Amino acid sequence: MGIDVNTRAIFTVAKKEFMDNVRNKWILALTIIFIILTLVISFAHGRGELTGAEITVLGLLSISTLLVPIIAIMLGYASISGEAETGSLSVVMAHPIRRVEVLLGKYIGLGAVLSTSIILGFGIAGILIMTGDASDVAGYLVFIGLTILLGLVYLSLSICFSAILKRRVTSLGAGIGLFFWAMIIGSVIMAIFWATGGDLMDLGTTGMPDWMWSSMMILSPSDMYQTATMLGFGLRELAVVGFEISVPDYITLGKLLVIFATWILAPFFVAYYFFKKRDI
Amino acid sequence: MAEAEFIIRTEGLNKRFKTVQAVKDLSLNVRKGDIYGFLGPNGAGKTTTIKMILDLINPDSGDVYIKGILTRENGVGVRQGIGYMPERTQFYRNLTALQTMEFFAELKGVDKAECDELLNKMGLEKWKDKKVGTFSKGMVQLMGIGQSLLGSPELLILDEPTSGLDPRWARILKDTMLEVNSNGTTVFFSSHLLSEVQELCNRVAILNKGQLIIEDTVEKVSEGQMQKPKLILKISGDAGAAAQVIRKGGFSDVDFHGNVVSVHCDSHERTKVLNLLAQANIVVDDFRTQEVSLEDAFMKYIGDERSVGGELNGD
Ligand SMILES: Nc1ncnc2c1ncn2[C@@H]1O[C@H](COP(=O)(O)OP(=O)(O)OP(=O)(O)O)[C@@H](O)[C@H]1O
Ligand SMILES: [Mg+2]
Repeated sequence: MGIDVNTRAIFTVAKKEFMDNVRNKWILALTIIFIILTLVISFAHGRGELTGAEITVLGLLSISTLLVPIIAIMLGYASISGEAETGSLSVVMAHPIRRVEVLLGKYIGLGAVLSTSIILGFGIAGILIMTGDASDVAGYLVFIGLTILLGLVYLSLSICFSAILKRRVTSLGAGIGLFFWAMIIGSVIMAIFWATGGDLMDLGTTGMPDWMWSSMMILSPSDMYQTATMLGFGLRELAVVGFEISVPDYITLGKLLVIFATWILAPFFVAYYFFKKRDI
Repeated sequence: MAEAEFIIRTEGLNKRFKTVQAVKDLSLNVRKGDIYGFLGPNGAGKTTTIKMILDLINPDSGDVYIKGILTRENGVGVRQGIGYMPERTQFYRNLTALQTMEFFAELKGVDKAECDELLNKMGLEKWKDKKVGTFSKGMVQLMGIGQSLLGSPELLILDEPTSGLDPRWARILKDTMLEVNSNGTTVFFSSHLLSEVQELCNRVAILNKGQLIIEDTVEKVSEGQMQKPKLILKISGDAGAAAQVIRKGGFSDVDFHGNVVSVHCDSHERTKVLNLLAQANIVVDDFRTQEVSLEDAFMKYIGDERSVGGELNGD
């Protein structure tokens, strides 16, 4: 891949992507839903017995694991196939710009929209939580950072599909497929455990076997994200509604960050390979 | 002619889409300073060729040189001096006209002051702060033309530039093409409107089923089919019978339709045609003549087979 890139061209594309998508009414609507849900969760947790940022964050996780992939996929799925279909990509590519620069610009611009949405979604609730109980500001910031990484995984994957597939509708199909994978892969691994003779009841007492931990962490970005968030708050053990989760020692935040980075970078290189030889 | 005087040169371009041979062994030569018309029926491969020239579509084989530089090897450098407007485009729904223009100006490294100027020129000054998503088809087309003119490019490549424009804006666009050409810009455009091509271009190429039929000056192309001017007669009786009479009189290129007969003949033969009809007691209500047109030549070149698209494989 050419090291020789024009940063001004990348920035120009990134700025355009940001300005166009930050005003996308679907993204706006999802961000508002995001803000409302996080506020509701934070208040609900604040009134109950369980106080403290960590517990609230566990509630917020359920929102972000659902909403963040949706926002990311909505931003990414048509970013190349859609623009190629309307013809504007051909105008862009007729300018003195390389394909790698267009692709990087899209990643950066869309990544910025995604980050803005997440920071707004969690930031407002965060200020309320932290003023009530200034327990773990650093942990909460790590949590927001991890949420952005989770979003970038799905953004990267959906841009990748968009670069490979010719038409907007097919890349929409791929985006929907990606979302389902995000939602069910954890359960699929559970099902494999059960089908191969594992007892689901044991999971509560003895915990998950190593192979399950590994495959969850590698194949299911959502489970990895939730685990990384626990570790970010310095929690290895957690008991929720009679279910005990104990993260094995060999799983560290550092390793999880490497997996995150792989999930974000690998699709980028695949996208570049296909985008470079694509007819526009 | 020296190599560098050809601003676009393609050599043996081929492109196949699955079962369609869209472009076949195509070699074109566009000279600096030309207004070059790129003609062909629907599906002839014009858009595909234009996109290969711009390095947007990868040819299966063949080379494109712009100003003597192989585009495959230095696409970025070569595209610096090109303005392009595609066949159809939608731009970015949530950006205003001005923001869209500024985006392209930034990509080209052109002074943003030009954006306002060009929006005015394209009649969009009142709309410059409105989102492009709300524009009509023709307004989007005008935006497309506006952005292609940014930075006064050396080479302007327009894919059916007047389609979708009302006659007034089509006129303004044609004048703009002549104006930029007189300032040194080479204009390469595809079109279905042969009258406008005849009016604007000094050179044309005709493409059919992906293959080049002819590339020459407008005059040579028009005459190339040994065309004679057309005499069109309105008959009060049976046009078929009239056509028969004219054919018997030694004219082969005769056609009739309703009560109209047309015959291709030189101007000195016109009285002979009229005399033939008078002798047969056929009353001519009205007649007019039509000079050799690119349109007639075009029809002859592409034949009257009614099928569109490139050559289908195994067909
Ligand atoms: N992306 C594509 N996939 C498959 N076939 C294509 C594709 N693009 C063009 N073709 C085929 O290639 C042939 C040439 O198409 P092209 O768009 O170049 O024609 P054109 O001369 O521009 O036609 P028009 O005057 O209608 O715009 C057609 O038969 C078309 O069906
Ligand atoms: Mg076309």
